Formats: sequence, C-alpha cells, structure tokens
Amino acid sequence: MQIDQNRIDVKVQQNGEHEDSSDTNDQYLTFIMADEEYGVDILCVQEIRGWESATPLPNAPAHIKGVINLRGTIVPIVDLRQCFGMEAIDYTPVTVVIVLKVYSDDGDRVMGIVVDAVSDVYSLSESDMRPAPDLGDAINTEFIRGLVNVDEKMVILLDINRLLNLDDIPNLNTLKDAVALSA
Amino acid sequence: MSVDLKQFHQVFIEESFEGLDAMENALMELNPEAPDSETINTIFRSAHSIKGGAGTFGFKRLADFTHILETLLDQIRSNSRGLDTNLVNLFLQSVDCMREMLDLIQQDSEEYPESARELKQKFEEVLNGDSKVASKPAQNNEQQNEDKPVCNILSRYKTWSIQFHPHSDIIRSGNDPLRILRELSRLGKLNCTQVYFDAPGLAEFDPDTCYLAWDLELRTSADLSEIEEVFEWVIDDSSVEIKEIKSDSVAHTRVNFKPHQDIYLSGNDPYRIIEELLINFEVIAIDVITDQLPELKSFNSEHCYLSWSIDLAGSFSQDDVLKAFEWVVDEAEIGFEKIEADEAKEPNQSDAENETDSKPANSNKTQAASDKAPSSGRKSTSSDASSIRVGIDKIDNLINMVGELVITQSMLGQLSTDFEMSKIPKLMEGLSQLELNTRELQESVMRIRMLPISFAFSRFPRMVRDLGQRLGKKIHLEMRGENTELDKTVMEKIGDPLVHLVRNAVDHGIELPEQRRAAGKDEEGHIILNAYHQGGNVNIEIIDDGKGLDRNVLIAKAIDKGLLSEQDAFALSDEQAFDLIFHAGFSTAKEVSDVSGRGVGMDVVKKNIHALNGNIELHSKMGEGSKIKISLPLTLAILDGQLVSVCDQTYIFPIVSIIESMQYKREAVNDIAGGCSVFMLRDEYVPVIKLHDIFNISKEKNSESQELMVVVESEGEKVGLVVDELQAQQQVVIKSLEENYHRVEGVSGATILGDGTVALILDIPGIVRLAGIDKVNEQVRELTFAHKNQEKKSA
Repeated sequence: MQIDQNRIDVKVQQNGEHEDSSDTNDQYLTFIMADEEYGVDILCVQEIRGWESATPLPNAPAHIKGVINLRGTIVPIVDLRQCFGMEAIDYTPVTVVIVLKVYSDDGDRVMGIVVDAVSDVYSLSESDMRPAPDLGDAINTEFIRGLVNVDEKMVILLDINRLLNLDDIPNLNTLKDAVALSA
Repeated sequence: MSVDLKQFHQVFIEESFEGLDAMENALMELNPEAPDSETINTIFRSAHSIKGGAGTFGFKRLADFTHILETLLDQIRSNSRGLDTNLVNLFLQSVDCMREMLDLIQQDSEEYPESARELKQKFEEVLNGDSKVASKPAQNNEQQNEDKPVCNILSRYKTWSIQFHPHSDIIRSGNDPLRILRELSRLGKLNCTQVYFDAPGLAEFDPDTCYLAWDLELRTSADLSEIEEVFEWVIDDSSVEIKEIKSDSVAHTRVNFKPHQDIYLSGNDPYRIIEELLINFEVIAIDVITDQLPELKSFNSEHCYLSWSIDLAGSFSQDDVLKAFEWVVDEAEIGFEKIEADEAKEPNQSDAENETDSKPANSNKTQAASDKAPSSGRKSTSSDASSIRVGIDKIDNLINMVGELVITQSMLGQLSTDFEMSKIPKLMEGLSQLELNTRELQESVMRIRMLPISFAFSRFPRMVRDLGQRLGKKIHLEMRGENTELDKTVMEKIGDPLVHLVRNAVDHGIELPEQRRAAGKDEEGHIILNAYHQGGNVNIEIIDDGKGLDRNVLIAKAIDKGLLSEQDAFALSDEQAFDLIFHAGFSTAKEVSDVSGRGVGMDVVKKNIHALNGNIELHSKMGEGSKIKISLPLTLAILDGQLVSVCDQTYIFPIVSIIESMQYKREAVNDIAGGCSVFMLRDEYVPVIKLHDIFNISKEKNSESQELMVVVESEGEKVGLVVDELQAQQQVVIKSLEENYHRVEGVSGATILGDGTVALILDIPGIVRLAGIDKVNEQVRELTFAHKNQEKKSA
C-alpha cells in the first residue's frame, strides 16, 4: 500500500514538472537479456521475484511459459527471450521474473516476463530518448519507446503496454536484428 | 433537528417492492365472485403502507395514487362495493404502474408515468360510479399516439451532404483526413458519393501531400454542431461545406406494411420494425393508414388495426428491406412500390399533418409495447446493485461457525506453546477439526449467496394468467420446490430463458379449450414448474400437458433447411430429433408456426444455459405434452473436481461430467479412419481422446498399459479421455484465466492447489471441439447403430 502511495506521489510530481519544463525525468527499470540492456517504465513494475516453475498452458506458443499463482491471482508468464526470438537458456535460481501491470482497453492485466537479470534504475528525460530507427515493414519496432545512451551503453526502452497487449504476444524473431542494426 | 430522509429511501423502495409483490400475489388469489376478506385486507394493508411511506418521504404523486387505490379497497373491504374481474385487472395494472413509479423514484426522476394518470382517471371514474366511460379516453389517444415516437425519430434523422476538400498540406499539419472520416462514420451512416484524386505523376508524388478530396453523405441523428466539431481541427487546412439534404423530391420506394390484427400476440411489435427501418434506411416519410380502425365498442387493445406505408429513399435491394421484416413476414403483408420523383411530395405533407396531430403524449399502448421487452432487463439491472436479504438463521449459523473456528485456533495456539512429539496425535486432531471448520464456514458463506428459486418463479403466475387470458386458454400453473436454493448469479441469468420456455409452453404447448376437449383432455391445461436438487445440480423442469412436439415435422423441417440428410434422419433417436429445435436455423417465427410452435430463440435459451455450465433436455410425446429439463450447477464459484495427472501436470475434471473411469486397455481400442480411436463401452462405441496429444504435452514415459481412461459426458455424447493417474477429489475455487490472459480452448479456468501451484480446470466440450471429435461422433453413431442392428439380427 505504501509503495503504491509513493508511486502516485512520483507521478504527481512528474506531472507537476511537466507543466513548467519539458525536461521530465521518468524512471526506468532496466534488465539484461543476452548482454543487451532493456528498460521498462518503473511505474508498471509491480514486483520482481525469482523464477519458479509455472503451470504450462495447453497449445500455447513457446514463449508463454504458463501461469503462476501470485497471491491468489493467476498470472501468465512470458519468456521475453523467446518472445524476441533469442536462444532460450535454462532457468536458474537467479533467473528473474518481473511482474508488470499492463494497461489495456479491457482493464489492467498483470503479467510476468522472464529475463536474465535485473540491472539498474535510471532517471531519463524525454529529450535523451531517440526514436527507434525505421527498419521498414519487415521489422516491427512499434513496441520500442526509444533508445537511450547511458554511460556509452545503449538501453532499449520498451513500451510494454504495446508489447504485451498485442492480442497474441508476438514472437519477434526480427527484433534482435533491429537492435543489431541500430547499434 | 433535521434528519436526512434520503438514507431511508432505498429501504422504503425495497419494502414497497415487496409490498407490491404481496399485493400482486393476493390479487392473483382473489376470486372476484367470492372475495376472501383476509386477502382483501392483505391488499389493503400493502397499499396503505406504501401510501404512508410515500407520504412520509414526500413522494406526493405516489401517495396520491395509492390514496385512490386505498379508498376503493376500503369500500370493497366494507362491502359497500362489489368486485369484478375488470376491477381486479385494473388493480393489477396499478401494481405495474406503482412499480414503474418506484423505479422512477429510484432513478431520482421527476417524471410521472402517463399510465398512472390514466389509471388514476379510471379509478376516479369507478369511484364516481360510471365505470363504463372509463376506458374511452385511453382508446381515443391510442391510434394518434401510435406514430408519435416514430415521427420524433424521423425528424431526428437527417441527411447531410458534406464536401470535405482538405488542402494538400493537411498531413504535414499533423492531421489525418482518414481519422475525420472515421469520426464521421461514428456519427451515423456515412456514404462517399465522390472521391477526387488529383495526383501528379509518380515522379513528383510526395507521400506527405494529400491529393484526395471527398464528397460525402452522412445520415445521422447528430446535429450540425456535432458534425462541425469533427472538423474542428482541420477547418484551417481544408475547405469544408456541410449542407442538409432535403430529400423530399427524390425518387423512392414505398413499402406497404400491413400487419395482421394479431401481430402483438405473436410477440412482435410493429413499432420496433419501423424503428429498425429508420436506423438502417433513409426514411423520408411514414404514413399511417387507419381505415381498419373499428368502432370504439369493438376495439380490442390487443389487436393491431394500423398499417403503414413507409417511403425509403436511396438505393437498396428489396431483400435488405425484407430483412427488417424477417420476424413478421407471416403476420403481415408487405408490398413494394416504386415512386417517381414528383409524386413523392404528397406523403410528406400528410406526414407533417400527422406530426401536428399527435401532440398528446404517450398513450398506454405505446407504453405497453415498449415495456414488453425491456421490463425484465431493466429489473435485473436495478437489482444488480441492490442488496440481498439474508435469513437471520444463516447469519447465526455463520457466527456459530466462526466461534468454533476461534476455539480451534486457540486450541492449536496452546498446543504450539509447549510442543513435544507426544502431542502429535493431538495436533492432528486439531488440524482435522480446523479442516472441518473451514469447510463448514465456506459452505455457509456460499449459502449466503443462495436464494430460493421462488425469486425466479414468482413472476410466472401473473405472466401465465395474462397470457392465458389473452390467448383464450385456461391454464393452471403449479409450482413445486420453490424453496430450492440457487446461487444469485445463476438465478439472474436463468430468469429470461425460463420466461421464454414458460411462454412457449403457454403459447404453443397448451391447446385451446375446444381442441383439448376434442382430444379428450381436461379443458384446463396444466403447466408444472418443478425445481429440485440432484447431486451438485439444481434441476428445473417445465412440464406441460399440451400437444407436444411432432418428431416427423421437426425432421422434415430440418431436411428442408438442409440441416440433415434423409439417411441421417432415419437413424435419429427421438431425443436427437427434439434436439433439432435447439438448432440456430430453427429459430425464426416462420418455421415454428407451422411446426408445433416451439423454437423461437430456443438456440438462445440453450446457449444461455450452456454458458452457466448447465444442460437442457427436451422430452415430448405427441398429444401428451412436453417436458423440458434444465440442470444447472449450484454455484459458479466452486466446483467439485477430480484431480488427474497427465505427464506430471495436474488437471481437474468437473466431477459432474465424469461417468466412470477404467483401465485403459490398448487391445480394446480400435482406430477408425480419420485418426480417431474408439473403444467399446458395453454396447456403445466411445471415441477416445488422449489428453497429452491434444494439449501437446511431451510424454516421456511410454507405458500405455498403466494409463487410465475417464469416461465423461459432453453435450449428451460420451467421450473417453486418457490420463496417467487419478488423484484426489476435492472442491476447488474457480479462478479466471481471462482476467490476465485470454481464453484457452479446452480449459474453463484455473485453480490453486493446496501446495500453491496452479492447476487447470478442463472444459470437456472444449476438449471435444479441440479434438475434432464432433465429426467423428457422427461416424461413431453410425457404428453403434450398425452394431445394434446386427445384434437384433443375431437375436
């Protein structure tokens, strides 16, 4: 509850800033996957937990690992590696699940994404952000909010509302290429 | 000191509704020839307390209305006035009217229902002794008012011509012309009459320049400002011209719609059809033909004496128009005429006259018509948010349980303070006590949501009486097992299907008295509503002793409709034949009136009941009547489940669907063409589905002989499902998968097991669909049939 309160405070503050300067600082939680750093809006992150085995769903695509019990609610788990068409790796006790709240037309959904490791929290302003390069029709970059350089390292900011809202979460073999090209 | 009376309004309204229910019941019991004074007292008391409450809370109109009612009742009570059927009918109408007033009060609306004014007038006239004149004024307005709302709608819909010529740099200014078009189409029906495309050669083509312009035609009820609002952002970057088209001089088609007198009896409402036309077509004029109107004394308010001629502009095919009349083609004559441009002005004038004519507000006829369909819907929405009344015994029971739970908890707590190994038996005992307590507690909490089925049944006596009276049938309705309890959510969803089935039984099941006498039956038809618990289900039966269904007509119809081939028809069992009525293709009025009647929307009934995890069966015997049996789960939140394991995964079968389980023997299973296997269960071939196959779970161990087969029933068909192991049976709480994910075929939900892991609850019909067994089942049926024939021969 208290955490929620803090989040609201942060939001209000940011909105306030937005009024007088365009230099908003959004906070992003970043995580590592295949040596690449990705970021998601920290306000969407509900919790971070260790990997525990999920109940597989019949006939689900490979990147849907199944569902887990999160204090009484049934939460689907998406393997972001497989979702992005990267090589699947074995889960270890340090494999991390980031539980995200996704806003969709028919209400909020809670989903978990499996990533290699959680990295850092950055404060980034809108002006630091570069749009993802347009890579033509073949490569879908819709769910990339932007690219940011932090200490000479590129961070890919994801728009999870788009990414996890697409009716069937896409199997994005092409994203890796997109990232490789843009880097 | 001032008290905010508002807080008591809800209580007053709830109590008044209850009072009205009591009043209605008493009125139904009342025998006008020999009124029982106690019943009249009950009616009087209800009216009196509503009047008192309404007075206290300042609902003056309601108080005034009930005051007149009360005066009349008082006279009857003191025997200074006789009672007749007319008066009882009037009282029943007043009950409806007061319900309406209460609804309005609940919505904080200041409106005063027109029917109340009229009823009040009638009551006053009865009081003043001239009850014969009473019904006249109402009839007078009737036909005038019939078309009034139509005219209103007509004037609301206008056609606008819009020229939207964006400047070439509109896209660069950040606007998207397509978005505008989309917005417009949201307002109404948008047609594009002309597209201008002024593009240069490909070499000079600039993707950021807009080369397009549109001439549009929009038919909408929105007014000019609303349309202008759409263009608000682009007005600087484009030239926009909006004009209203007056379509009075256009060539058009005239549709002559002449309903039969008894159209209302078939449940159709001409007004709705006209409304549909207004939405879908460009109606320029509606003319009402009243020449069929009889003299006032032979006027029957259930008959439709009006016919319409409706002028439609624009181009469309007759079939499109006929679609609107789909439900009434049998109850009406429909004709088409092409009208040339100059002729068209006349009807328009008469339309204008109509409009001026129809000043008096709603009559009770339009009210009644519009009330028919939505009343049940409105009721359920208002009761959705409302409270439920729980018997004090249930609450006491709950408190007792909690008391016991507290005792068990303190016992366990004490045990843990100085625990030693010797106390283990005691601990076990405590834990089993705790288990017992929690289960009981859970059951009592669930029971709070349970309501007696009389809540759903209570509307039927009145409905059957009214319908019977209207159709000239004598019907006795008997209700059994009204105290059978059912989950509130299930109850709400079963109401409408039940109404439908009972109405069918009255309308099509029970014959007219003469026909009954000719068939050697009691003149009075019987309908029995019966509810009872069986296992984890509630069964509701609707039994009538009417004419029943004719199997051959049903089959003939199905063949006619192409639902069935003639060979299949031969093999059909009675049950399967009656099942045809639930088929979607059977659900139009036309087919049903020349079959034995059943079937208007029966597929909808079936769908609703399946959505509740229930089942519906129909048994019928020609000439003896029909019996419809609905079985529903007691509750939607908890399920009795059988845990099974397949490849280390745990799944849950709803226990109600399991028929038996047995060892799976490879030898007993035969493969038939098409990749499905069947096995012989006694003298029936049952298809076999391997759960791990259709769920695509990798199977590591390969010891099929160890497997078990669970025989389940899905929509009347048996299916064998192969699993690895049967585990415990337990009650599971159903959790939704859709909340955070989407529907998964073959799975109806999930639950959390004792160890915190998630297990999926299987949806048997879904699995059958997934395996494509539906088609295979037909093959299997043939096999079984052939097998039985063989046996007969050998015997």
